This record gives sequence, structure tokens and C-alpha cells, in this order.
Amino acid sequence: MERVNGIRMHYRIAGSGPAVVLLHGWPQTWYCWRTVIEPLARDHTVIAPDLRGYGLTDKPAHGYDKRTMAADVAALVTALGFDRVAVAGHDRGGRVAHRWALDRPDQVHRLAVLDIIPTREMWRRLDSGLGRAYWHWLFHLQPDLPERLAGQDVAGYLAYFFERWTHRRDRMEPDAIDEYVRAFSAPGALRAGFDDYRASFPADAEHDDADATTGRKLHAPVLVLWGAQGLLGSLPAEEIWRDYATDVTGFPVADCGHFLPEEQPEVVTERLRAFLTA
Amino acid sequence: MRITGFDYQRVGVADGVTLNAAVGGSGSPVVLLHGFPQTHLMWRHVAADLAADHTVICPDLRGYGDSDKPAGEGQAYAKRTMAADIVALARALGHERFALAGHDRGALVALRAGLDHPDAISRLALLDVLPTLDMWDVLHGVNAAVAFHLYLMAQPPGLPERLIAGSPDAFFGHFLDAWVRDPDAIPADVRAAYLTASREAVPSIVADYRASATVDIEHDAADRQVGNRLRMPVTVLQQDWGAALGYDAAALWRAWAPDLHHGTVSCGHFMAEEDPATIVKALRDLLAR
Repeated sequence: MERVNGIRMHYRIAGSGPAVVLLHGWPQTWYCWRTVIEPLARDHTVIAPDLRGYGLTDKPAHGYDKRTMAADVAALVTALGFDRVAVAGHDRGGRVAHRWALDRPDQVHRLAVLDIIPTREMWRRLDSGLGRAYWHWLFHLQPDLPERLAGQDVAGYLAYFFERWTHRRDRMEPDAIDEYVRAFSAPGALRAGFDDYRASFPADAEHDDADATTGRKLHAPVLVLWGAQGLLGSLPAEEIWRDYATDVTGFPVADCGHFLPEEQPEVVTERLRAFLTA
Repeated sequence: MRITGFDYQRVGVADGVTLNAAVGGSGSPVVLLHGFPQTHLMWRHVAADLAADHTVICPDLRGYGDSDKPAGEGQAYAKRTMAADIVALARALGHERFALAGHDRGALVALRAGLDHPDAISRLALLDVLPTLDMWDVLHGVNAAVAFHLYLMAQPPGLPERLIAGSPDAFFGHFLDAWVRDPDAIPADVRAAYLTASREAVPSIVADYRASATVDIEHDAADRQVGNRLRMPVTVLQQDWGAALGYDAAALWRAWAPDLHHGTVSCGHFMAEEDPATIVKALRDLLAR
């Protein structure tokens, strides 16, 4: 645990060498990286925090805009003694990573985003087709109601996403799902996760629009990975990212849904390693 | 709860499906169709006024209130099927041709009745909806968040039913609270009646909505393709959603209804309860057109 940016942040750290930070998504914790950490840690310092509101990290009432969540992890790596880091983020963690790289180019020298397009593009492209696939964005944006409905049966709610969003369901082990259900059954955890989504409009959208207006893009190398059988398989993810970054390489991950670090940890590890050492 | 002074009948309208209907007054027939998350009770003020010189019929839709709630998906709750129920109901009560007004889901049923049964529907009033096809079309970006329930209930069977059934009063109450401008318009006993009725109708309500994400779109699109439009005089009253969300609601409706009066109201979604005088006037104007 480390006290950073006014909250107590839980993280895992392993290995030695150049630092790489792994940021999880919803409805998960640092635990989604469990199989990726060890091989990467052979030649890197791997830091995998629970983001603000998630896992064992504090769940304050405010600060779920990606700028604040990025400032949290920026302060964490500074506290751990690292000036420059590579960052990989999956799902919501990818959005934190994207904001971090935009706000702190001095600190983030490489960015990998797993199974997302920029939040701004989500809002721009959301039509009835995309809205059906990302219905939870619209639901989680509502005040209070998601907590009331999902709170009746946290395991049932999360199980829906772990079933619907996986391709290799066999690799999302029951023990892992139990871990996530425990994490999201903690007081305030559901609310904090929904607050992460609630921050996507208007707060995150305003920050993203401001960057688009002033032409601020990513200049660090960007690696884009997406599950070939997942929701992003139907979008031109790599092309979309080229509007937001000058140096983009992208790969679909075969035989994979949304949960890349758990469905295809070997491929994710190899892609990250190649990207980090290029 | 009942509409004071109305008789209640149970009328078989389809194979094994019986509707609960409140019937009052005498004169030329008017059928009033309720929306979500409500029952025929939402018409209590309007129905009492119109009954002075009309035969007023207020059914609970298939799947709602005290009407039957057959199991099934797709066609079972297609607006085409629910509209056929209403034509059969009026016929069973002795009316081959009638004026039809619908609010919310009831307006989607009424629209479908007007398209499918032009000889039965003399006049059509549609309150606070867009045609299904147009509704999905205008929901873009964060604007779609106002219709999150459409997306939730469009999900495959299982999750929506389970989520809603776990906290039905929170779910249905959300809309009664969020969509009303004058909360006194839905008094506690009426609100309780809506919540009780909805609590007992979760699978059928979700099936109604899910049909609007599937078969109803196909039916609308087929009509659009062959140019099938409403041939009767039509009145549409809406909140000012178009201005808020950036589309021209009147133009969308005119494409379906050449003989259209389109108006916006200053009250909330539950306009027949929030501003019954305006609704009565609009209906009487339509009946006189």
C-alpha cells in the first residue's frame, strides 16, 4: 500500500529493471495480470496497482475522471522511485493509461492499450448498434440505479460480463471470478466502478475534446491489441488510434475475447515484451 | 384501483389471451392505450372527460396490468400482435371502427394498429414516442443514455429480467420519478398500483421492449420500404425531445403521417396525468377533424 494523491493505493510489484505499469479494467483488479506479471518481471520491474475505487485501493466519493485516476498512478510510480515508465492498460485501465500518457509525456515513454478505442471515439461512434454491445456504458452512467439493481446479486451481474465478453471461457477460472466478485462485493466497490463510467461523461469527454481541439496527440510509441473475437474485432481499432497518436502498431489477438491478459496471457506477454524492448 | 364509474370486462382477443378493459360512457368509440411502467389507470382523468360523449375503452395491454401475460418472445410481444389484440378487443365490444390514442408503449401499439388496420382506425393520437425505427436512429452518443433501458432490455433473455426482478420497485419507480415534471400528478396510491402491476409483469414487459429491438424494427422497415403510411388524421404530442437531442421530431413523424398535427407540451412524459386538460383538448380536436 502506498499513500498517493490523497488515497491509499494497493499495488503488486515484482522483478527488477525498467518499470512497466499494468492497469486493469472493469470489473477486475490487479489480479487480471497475474499470469503476465511473472514472465515480464524476468527483465522488468512490473507494477500492477488496483486503480482508485477498485480492489484494495481506497474508494473515495470523488476523483474518477481519468485525469485524477492517472495522477494517482503517476504519483505511485514517483513514490516508488521511477521517473519514466511504460504503461499497459486494459479496458478502463487503458483509458487511465491513455490520459496518463497525454497528461504526462515526460513520464510515460510507451503506451499499450488493450481492447479499447479512445473514450471520445466511443461517444462519437455510439449508435444503436454499438450501443447494444456497450449498453453497460449507458446503464452505468445512470445515478444510483445500477448499484440498486446489480447490488442485489453482484456475482450474477459480473458473471454476465465474464461469460458474454470472453471467447476462451475456459481461461477465466472460477477462482479468478470469485476474486473479482469478492472485490466488487466490498462496501463502495460497485459504486466506485460505476463512478469510473459516470466520469466518462461529461468529465472525461471534456478533457478529451479539449485535447482534440488543441491537436494534442500521443507521440510516444503506442501498441494496440484487441481480441479478434471480441467487441472490438468489428471496429478498425488500429486506424482509429492513428488519429490520436503518431506512432501506432496494432495486432488482433486470435482466439480471444475481451479479457486479453487472461484469455491469451502468452500472446499478451510476448507482444508487450517485443514492444518494450523494441 | 379502478377508473371511477367504468365497468371492467375481461375480453378474449387471441388464442388464449384475455385483456382486462375498463369501459365507460356512450357515443362513438375511443380506445386509449397506456405506456410503461403503467396500466390503463393513467387515463383516469382523460377517460372520465371523454366518457361524457364517447364510449371510452381503456385496456391493459397484453403483458401489462391485469391482462394476460403469455410466455414467449418475438412475435408474442411484437407491436403487430399487440395491435391485433386491440382491434379484436374493439370488435368484441361491437366496434369495427374506432379512434385510437396511445401513450409511450401504447403509442407504438397504436401506430402499428394504424399501419396494419387502416380500415379499423378512424383517427390516431400518439403521445410522447418516436416510431421504433426512428427512435433507434436518433439515439447517438451520450444522447442514448436517456434510453439506457431500451439497450438494457434489448439484451438476450436472462440478465435484464434478473436485474429488474431483483429490485423491481427501484427500476420501475426510477422512470415514474425521472420522467415526471409534476410529481403530484401520480399520487401515492396510483404509483403503488403501477409498481405492483409492473412487479408482476417483468418478463412480459422486457419481452415487449425486446421485440422493439428486433421484430418491431423489421416491421417498421418493411413499411418504410413499401411506403405504407398512416391514412387517417393523426395527432402527435411530445415533450420537446427533438430540440434537446438535435432532431426534427415533426419531420420524422410527417414521413409516417401525411395528415399530421404535431405539438410539443410543456409538462413531463406522463402528460395524460400531468396536464389532462391539454390532452383532452388535443383528443377532442382530433375527433372533430
